[in-house]
Amino acid sequence: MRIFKKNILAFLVTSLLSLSLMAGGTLRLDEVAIGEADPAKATDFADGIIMENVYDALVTEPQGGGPVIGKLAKDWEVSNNGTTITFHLNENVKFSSGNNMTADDVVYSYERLMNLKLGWSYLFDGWVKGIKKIDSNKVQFDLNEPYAPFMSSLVRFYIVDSKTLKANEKDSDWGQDYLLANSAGTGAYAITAHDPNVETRMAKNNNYFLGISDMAPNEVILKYNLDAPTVRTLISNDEHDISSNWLPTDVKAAIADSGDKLAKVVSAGGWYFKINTTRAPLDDVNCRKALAYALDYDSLVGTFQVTDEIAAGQKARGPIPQGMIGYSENVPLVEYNLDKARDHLGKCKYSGGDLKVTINWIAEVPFEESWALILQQGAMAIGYDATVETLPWAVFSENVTKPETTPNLSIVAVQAQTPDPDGLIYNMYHSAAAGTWQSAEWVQDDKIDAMLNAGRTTIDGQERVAIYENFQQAIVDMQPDLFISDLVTVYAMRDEIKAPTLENSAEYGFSTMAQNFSFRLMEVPN
Amino acid sequence: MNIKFYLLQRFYSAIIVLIGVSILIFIIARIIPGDPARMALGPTATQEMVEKYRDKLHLNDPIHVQYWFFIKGISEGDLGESVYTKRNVTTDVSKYFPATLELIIFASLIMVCVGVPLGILAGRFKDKPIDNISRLISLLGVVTPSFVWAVFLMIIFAFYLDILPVAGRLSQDTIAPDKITGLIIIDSIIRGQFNVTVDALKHIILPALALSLSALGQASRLTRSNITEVYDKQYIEMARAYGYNEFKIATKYALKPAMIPTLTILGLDFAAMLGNAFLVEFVFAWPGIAKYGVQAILYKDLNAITATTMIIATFFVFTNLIVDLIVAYLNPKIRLSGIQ
Amino acid sequence: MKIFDSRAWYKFSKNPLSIVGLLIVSLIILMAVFANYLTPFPEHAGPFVDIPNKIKPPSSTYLFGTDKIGRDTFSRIIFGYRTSLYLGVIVLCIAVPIGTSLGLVAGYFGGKIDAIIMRITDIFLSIPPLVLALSIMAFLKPTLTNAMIAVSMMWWPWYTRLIYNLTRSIKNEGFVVSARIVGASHFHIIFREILPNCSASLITKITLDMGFVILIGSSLSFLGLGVQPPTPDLGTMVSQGSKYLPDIWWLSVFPGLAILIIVLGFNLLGDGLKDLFDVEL
Repeated sequence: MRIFKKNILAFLVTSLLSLSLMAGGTLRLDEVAIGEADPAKATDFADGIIMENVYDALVTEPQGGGPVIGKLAKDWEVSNNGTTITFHLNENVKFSSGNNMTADDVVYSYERLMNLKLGWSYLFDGWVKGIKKIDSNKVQFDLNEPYAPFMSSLVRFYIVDSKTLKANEKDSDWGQDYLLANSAGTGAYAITAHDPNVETRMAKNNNYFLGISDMAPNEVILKYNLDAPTVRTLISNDEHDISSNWLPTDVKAAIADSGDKLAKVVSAGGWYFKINTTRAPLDDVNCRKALAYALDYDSLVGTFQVTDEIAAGQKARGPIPQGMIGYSENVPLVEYNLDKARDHLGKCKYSGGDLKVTINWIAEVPFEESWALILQQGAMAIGYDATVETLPWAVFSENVTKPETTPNLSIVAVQAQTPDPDGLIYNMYHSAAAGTWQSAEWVQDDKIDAMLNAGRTTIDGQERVAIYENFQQAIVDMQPDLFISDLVTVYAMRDEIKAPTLENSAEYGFSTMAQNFSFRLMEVPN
Repeated sequence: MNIKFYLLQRFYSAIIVLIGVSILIFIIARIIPGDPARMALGPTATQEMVEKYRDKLHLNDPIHVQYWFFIKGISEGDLGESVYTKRNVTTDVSKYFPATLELIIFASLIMVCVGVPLGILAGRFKDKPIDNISRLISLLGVVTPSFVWAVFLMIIFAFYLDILPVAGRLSQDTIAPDKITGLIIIDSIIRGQFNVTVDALKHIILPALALSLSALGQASRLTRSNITEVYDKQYIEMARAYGYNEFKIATKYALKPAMIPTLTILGLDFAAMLGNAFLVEFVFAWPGIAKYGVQAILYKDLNAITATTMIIATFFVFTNLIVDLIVAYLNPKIRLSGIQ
Repeated sequence: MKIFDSRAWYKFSKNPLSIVGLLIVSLIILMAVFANYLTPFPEHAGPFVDIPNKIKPPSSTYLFGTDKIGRDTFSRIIFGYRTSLYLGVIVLCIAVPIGTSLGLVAGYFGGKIDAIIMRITDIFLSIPPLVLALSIMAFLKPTLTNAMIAVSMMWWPWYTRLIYNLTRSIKNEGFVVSARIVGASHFHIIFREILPNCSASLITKITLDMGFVILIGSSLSFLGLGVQPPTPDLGTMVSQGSKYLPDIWWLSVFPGLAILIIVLGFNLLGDGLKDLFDVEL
């Protein structure tokens, strides 16, 4: 009988809910697992998508790019030569629990982030001397020295509901257990269900402080690890809305052919063959340059072509992609030239049997295999003994923590984690950041370090541009990577969905890629 | 009295085997290259955090101490934390195991309800067309890997004919009934949510079919050869001479003795399907323990691999045990004369 | 060993299915061995890239179409057979001697040795084969060699069981007892009296097993634990091809059929031998 009554209740609740949710349907998208829902632990793409929708930061990028503008902070003052920044918070912003967002929450969120020392804490570690609450709507950051990327880094500092987390704390875990299945943010959406391996469900917060359109989806289902044929079929059956970028190129083309559309977003980042510069034979710059000239770039470009109009890539001139400070047309493009390659190989101190390299590609991203094979073909043509291997992401990110186990060459995509070039290249090339998946090059060069440090502490805009342009050239000369392409992501989308952040990213998009998946800026018909 | 002794002996055997399996898996798992603690904490963790975690996982203790903690953990139901999902493995397993169980039960039903009758018909009408058709189907079932079947079935029924869904246990808008057994089909029937039952059935047909075809083929061939053997026996001829009708002969005199070896194989196949479920779960994105196990393997998720293997091995061993007991009971030779 | 005399051949040839099996197996072995001469594009089995010709449907140039970097599926399937056969042969070369020796020893000497060996065998047999192979592969790099080791590890117990049962029934036969009375050494009895009488069962089982080892091998590579690219492998081809379904079907379907055919061949052949020697496996 109880079961029966529960059913009636469920029926009533569902019908009431559906009456109230007349406009805006359900948005379904997918990404590679896992989805981390804790803002102090998030690092990856799926995590970023959840963060950008469920939580807010003090500042954000404006649509179409540009210097950061206030979000949870109304405005701010910089003093003491850039080492003190005081934020005035927006008033009357509420968390999904109903609690007001105040300076206490900001302070708690920061302490939580730095205490757990995971996620994006590295952006602030060592730069921020302290944070203090001035009054209920004013917070002050004190820095050790001027730090140019600071404001951009704040886009990754998400504010959590301190009262809810403190109330649900278990064994002083800073509320980590609670956040395994719930959210505690101010965002346009709140988590209703979360399984990091299966799916995350989010529901619209109609009282979002920045306002939210009726046509924005009422519910969002972010699924993990969907198979390509599944996504393909679901999209054509109108059961799935946006695919991930990891769909094979030809499947995207097939989707475009059958009546749905593709959205192309030029992202701030790139695809690289990261070369372990500490491992023979590629510790010699000439051996690396030889490979750079032996790479058939036209074949590579051929793999990007999705349809006649859309290519999922463009030739890169260096680590800094087009559109970011530091990019310059003056850096020459490396061309496929086997003679030049052999020249460089001749100057290399290794030869013959020593020329053994392994090319690693990540198992979860099948189109990387084509690139690995293209490089292999080129390498073997000039005399290398090149083998191709595939590794799952988790194993790869473990292997790169030590130079001896880091592969000779690995294919990785790196994206700027903040809207600042520092957010892209610091983690790749600074000696202090070595040993992560972003820095499989193990570059430990004083000149490069100096340039990166200068980039961080120089506040003047023009000077910074010059520093980064020099940096770009220096890296190209050193060749710690083979540059495959600027990071262009292509998503297959159902025709009925409107997402200007994805479809017209130049005008409406964000350089922090995950933010382009702000659900409240999308329109999903019922 | 003999049955009890037999039971105890088999049970004792099973326990020894399980202990052996646990040691085997434990040792293999500890030999891996790579640091499970570092993999759990991620690339940004500092060395001291890794050391702290290693202590927590008892990784720096001597191996027999680690084994003791391992066994203690199992008895308490704590199988450790998964490196990949960052949650308790017990939670993960209790979620994914019923899904696989449901799949295997369904596949076994298909195997028994289709395979055995097919074999009986083939045996009874030996060398007639139905025999040849049945043998062809069985053969194809046995030689084709289940993932090839899965791909073919998916292409035909989910894509071209578009009558069955492509993946998952339920359509995305259908919510699973609150858990009683974890088997969606049973739970939804109990709760009266028949639309969920239909949806779940639609989703389970293709993967169950793909999984069952190999065992189905085996069962059919075995039944066929047993039936032909039995039909050659003299007491069948006697029954015919006495004028009993064909149907009575088939069910009363032929079937029973033929079923005993078949039952053994059926039981073994049921347990073996657990191992083969990997491939089908992959193709159909079925959220079961086999898919979870393979992910664990690909990600070198220590605790998950150990837990999954132990659970599968335990299930396998006990199913075999039960099958042995049932067969021992049914087979009058064993039942009446003691242990074989 | 008079198992292949003319009467046996006549009996064998009476069964059309066994002949089909023999034909299939011989054809495949021939094609695999002479792949370099028999395939239209032998270089596609190595590091070869031809982007402009990628994902082309089956045609007269590319019998089974091309894959995502422009390689001919048909040629790669034939080379893939090489990998499969190689795997089967090596695995059985490891598993059969180990399993058989253990079975002989356990069955002949009985007692404690018997108990220990058979207990260990039981332990290995109680883990579903694929699970054991996968667990082993979990801790090794995904290469062909390691796949072979993993599959051998799960295969030998079946031979131990089979030979054990056979040994136990044979060792009480008249000729064995007489040999013992006469004072023949254990070695002589095991390898000269018992083993030859197991040969019919062994040969049959080995033939049947070739098919199943290839099946398990393809399952392992389907899950991503097989050979590394660009070496062609049937299971890997099915797995990678499955991502392009349903529009691009030829990348999965043809390798899948190829696996079916080779396993079928060995199975029919093995069944024929089973009928011929009238063995109980």
